[in-house]
Amino acid sequence: MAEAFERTWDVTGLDFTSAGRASTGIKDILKRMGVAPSIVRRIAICSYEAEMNVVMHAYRGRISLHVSPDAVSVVADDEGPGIPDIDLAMQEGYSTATPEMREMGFGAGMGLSNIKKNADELRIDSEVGRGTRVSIMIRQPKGGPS
Amino acid sequence: MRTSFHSFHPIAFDHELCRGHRSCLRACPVQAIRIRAGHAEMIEDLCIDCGECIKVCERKAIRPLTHALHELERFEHTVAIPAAALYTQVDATPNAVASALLACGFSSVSPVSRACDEAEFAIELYLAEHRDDWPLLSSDCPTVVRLVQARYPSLVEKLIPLLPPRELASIEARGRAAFETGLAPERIGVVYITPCPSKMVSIVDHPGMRRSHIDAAVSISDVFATLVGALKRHERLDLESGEFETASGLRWAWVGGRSTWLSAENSLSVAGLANVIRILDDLEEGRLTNYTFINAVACVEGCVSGPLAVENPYVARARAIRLTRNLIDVPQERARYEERYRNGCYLNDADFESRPAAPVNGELEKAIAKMNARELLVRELPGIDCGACGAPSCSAFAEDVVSGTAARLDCIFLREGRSEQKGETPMTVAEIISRLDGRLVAGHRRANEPIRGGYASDLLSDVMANAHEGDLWVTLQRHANIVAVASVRELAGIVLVAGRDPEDAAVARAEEEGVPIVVTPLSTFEVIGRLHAAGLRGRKD
Repeated sequence: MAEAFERTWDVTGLDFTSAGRASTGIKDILKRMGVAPSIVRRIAICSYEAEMNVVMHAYRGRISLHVSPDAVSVVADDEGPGIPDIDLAMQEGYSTATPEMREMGFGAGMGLSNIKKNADELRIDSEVGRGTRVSIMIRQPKGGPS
Repeated sequence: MRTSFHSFHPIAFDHELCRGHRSCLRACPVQAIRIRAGHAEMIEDLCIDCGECIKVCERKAIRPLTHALHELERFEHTVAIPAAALYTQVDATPNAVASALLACGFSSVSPVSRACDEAEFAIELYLAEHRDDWPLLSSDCPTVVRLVQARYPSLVEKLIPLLPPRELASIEARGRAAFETGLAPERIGVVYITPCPSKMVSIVDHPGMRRSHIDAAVSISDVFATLVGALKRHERLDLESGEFETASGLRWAWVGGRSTWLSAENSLSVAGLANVIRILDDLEEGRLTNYTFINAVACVEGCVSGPLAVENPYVARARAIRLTRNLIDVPQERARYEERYRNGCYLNDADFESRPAAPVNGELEKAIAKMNARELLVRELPGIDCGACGAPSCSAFAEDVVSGTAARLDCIFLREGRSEQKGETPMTVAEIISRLDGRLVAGHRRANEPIRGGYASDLLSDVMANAHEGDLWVTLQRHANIVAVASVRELAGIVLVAGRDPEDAAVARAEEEGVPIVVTPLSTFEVIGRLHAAGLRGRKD
């Protein structure tokens, strides 16, 4: 098994001033590693949406980055209210964001569908009253430089 | 596999003048400077040519590589094209400034406003035709272009592929000069009067273009004195009557003006690299999708605050606002511009390429191992970004170490841990100078003797009573008696805080007695903090 790189960031619910730090950090690391720009961009979009979901809906959470020669994955794990109906949450336009959040430009109901569009694999595990785990994976292109 | 894309940088570091102060190290927005062997150096792959380092270097050890006026002698006819920012540097009308430029030796002067007008119009047409690509990014600031190429390769396709006003103005100026003089176009030198060195990149490396239409760039600061002199003598040279420039051109000079020049709805103006970086991060992470156009410039007030501008940027901005109010807007020749647009006259003839600082899809396994090594090292470092190692931050230092361009023991904290174990030689006065951003003003001959500890006090009798032999004494007293005290107590040297130079008598006596005196701009608190961090301690009896 080849060596992998891992790092985690803590995220606090409703802390809008620090929101986005994890995604920007993830992006910075991937660029330093020389990961292809198209993958960096897709991961950045996914991790930002996942991070904002934690900020907006959960009490606290953790974003982890895992890079191996085969794939980049980001997992957002939170303690929060959980998602009662994942299929409904996946629908574009569906949002439980508060009016205040909408005023800040969030809550368009595009977060999860945006992740789905950009990820190779998306898995959502949620338990109402406990929390949610969003796992995102994007495969590295096989072979040498593109 | 690694190739250096950035073959040309318009910024030179003069090792003779550089004393290894760390102001440039901290000012660089992309962490492209290191202090090595006491001198500042550039990491070419990281530098984006913004010139922030030029602004902060008090010793003028960082120079822009713009053209000197005498280098223009190879042309038979020279046409100056003023950057709009030039007009904000002096209290005079654009007509007077243009006339005064002739006194600097240019054969003629050509305006920039019409080209600004055309560029603005072209952007509007382009935006309307490329709705699917919104938001698009402005591409006239060469530093923003470099930033995108180096750090945001996925956004390169967002750069609007249209020629900047200075290029359009140059094409026009060369054509007109050739027509009027009968000279072959290549014997005419088109010279841009620039507020920043990064325009040189645009000329030499010409991203987005097969070649630049500008032959040379002369710094505003290099023509400023002559310009002011000519304006004082009220020289009125031959210029056509009527307004030389229009309001639309001047609006490109400062960020507030730029935010008004585009009538496209939902455009966003951003200035200052830290702010531009935040916007580009947002854009890359999929936000800002409701904007059509992002108008970005590197300097915090726009081109009026360029590193080669002379005037205070806020005075310059006030003048720009006044000038645009007083000047008229020439009605756009929309039909003609549109025809030129359709004929591709405004389009770039090459692609903007991405130039990532890290090799893309290099050996990822190695990159992962390197990143892990870096993270391990970061955990060992103090994380205070002191800069003593010569890198701007602990994480940059860790990166340098794993890349093999710095050694672990360049970090004073790692070194201190080791020196305690192995009893390495203690530091000397000469070694602490750069840590204190200071300079040695006396007692050079004994600057290499070891410092054993530190003492801080402004009461001479306290020092007499409590300092120890070999201590470095931190004080704000500057009279000759401090030398006597240091000499009697056999101290290793004196650090004068808050930029307080010693009195002449003190210098004379320190030279005589061989007492090193270092003057630092830092406060006592900061000096002691740094010395303590470097491993120096107060001593008990």
